[in-house]
Amino acid sequence: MSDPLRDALRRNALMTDVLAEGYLPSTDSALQTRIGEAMRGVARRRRRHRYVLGAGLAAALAVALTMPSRAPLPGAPALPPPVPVATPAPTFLIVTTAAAAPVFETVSTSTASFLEVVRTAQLIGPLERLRDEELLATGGVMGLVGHPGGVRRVIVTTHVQHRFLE
Amino acid sequence: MDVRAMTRGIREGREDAFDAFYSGYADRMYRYLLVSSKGDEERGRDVLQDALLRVVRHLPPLDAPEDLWRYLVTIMRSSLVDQFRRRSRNPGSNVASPEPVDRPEERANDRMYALLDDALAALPIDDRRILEQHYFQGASQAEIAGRNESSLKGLAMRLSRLRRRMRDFILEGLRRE
Repeated sequence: MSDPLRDALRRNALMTDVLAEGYLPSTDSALQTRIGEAMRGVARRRRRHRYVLGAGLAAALAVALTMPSRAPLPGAPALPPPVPVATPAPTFLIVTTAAAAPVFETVSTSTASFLEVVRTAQLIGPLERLRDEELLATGGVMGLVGHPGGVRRVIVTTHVQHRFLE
Repeated sequence: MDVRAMTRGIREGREDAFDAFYSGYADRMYRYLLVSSKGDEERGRDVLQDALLRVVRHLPPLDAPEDLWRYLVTIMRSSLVDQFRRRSRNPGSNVASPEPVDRPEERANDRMYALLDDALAALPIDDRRILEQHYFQGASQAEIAGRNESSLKGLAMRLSRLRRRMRDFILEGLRRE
């Protein structure tokens, strides 16, 4: 061993012993215990975080993979049946369907009037398919006022008891 | 245990890795902090604890001892600066500013060893001779006790007293800087 290295080692030994006369962390078991506990806590949190992250990713992956072939949930609540809407009995030419359940209102007219006016904002297939001329030719229908997309007024004669549903 | 296994072991919370780290680096860190905090032992201990906590919380996996030491020095400097700021906010505190952050460990070590030489030189000649015989000439305590016609126990106590005196001298030297 070379002299400079030997001298360095001896000086280092003296320095170590000199410093060891006071506080030395390597002999501080309380500090070592405290830091060791902190390390274990950090490692636990790191593991838990990794586990949660992994579980989340796995769940997301599973959902993504099974989504296309997924059946409805067995416990899912059934949709309520559709509320039946009372529709008047057809007494005249049926130009709409009951299933469409159109919203309409009867416009009040003079008691002396021989017309009944029904107003609706809906456009329903059969009526659309009919031309004004055809409506007028079906009997009872005296006129149709309005335009496609807007409020229509269907005017029918009163002696035929009906409502013209649109 | 090599640095690679040690740093990964600490991240996994392994006891053996932490023990290896603590026994291998805690004293070295404290010595560095003693110089950096200008011989303030209380401050050195506080900063050491703070730095060790930061290490176990954030230590990345490292492969080489020099990388680990460089990381530890960075952490210690950061802890020193933080502690200086904390104490500066306390109006009653009287704390020296930390060493310049770019001071390398070599310089700190050089300073410590220079102070060690000064402390040795400041001792009375008989005391210095005993220390030199024991530490530099490799004489055993029994041999030195025989030469000085003293008991082994008496010599051990004398050596301890001399080392304490040198330690005080070194710390005082650091405080004066």
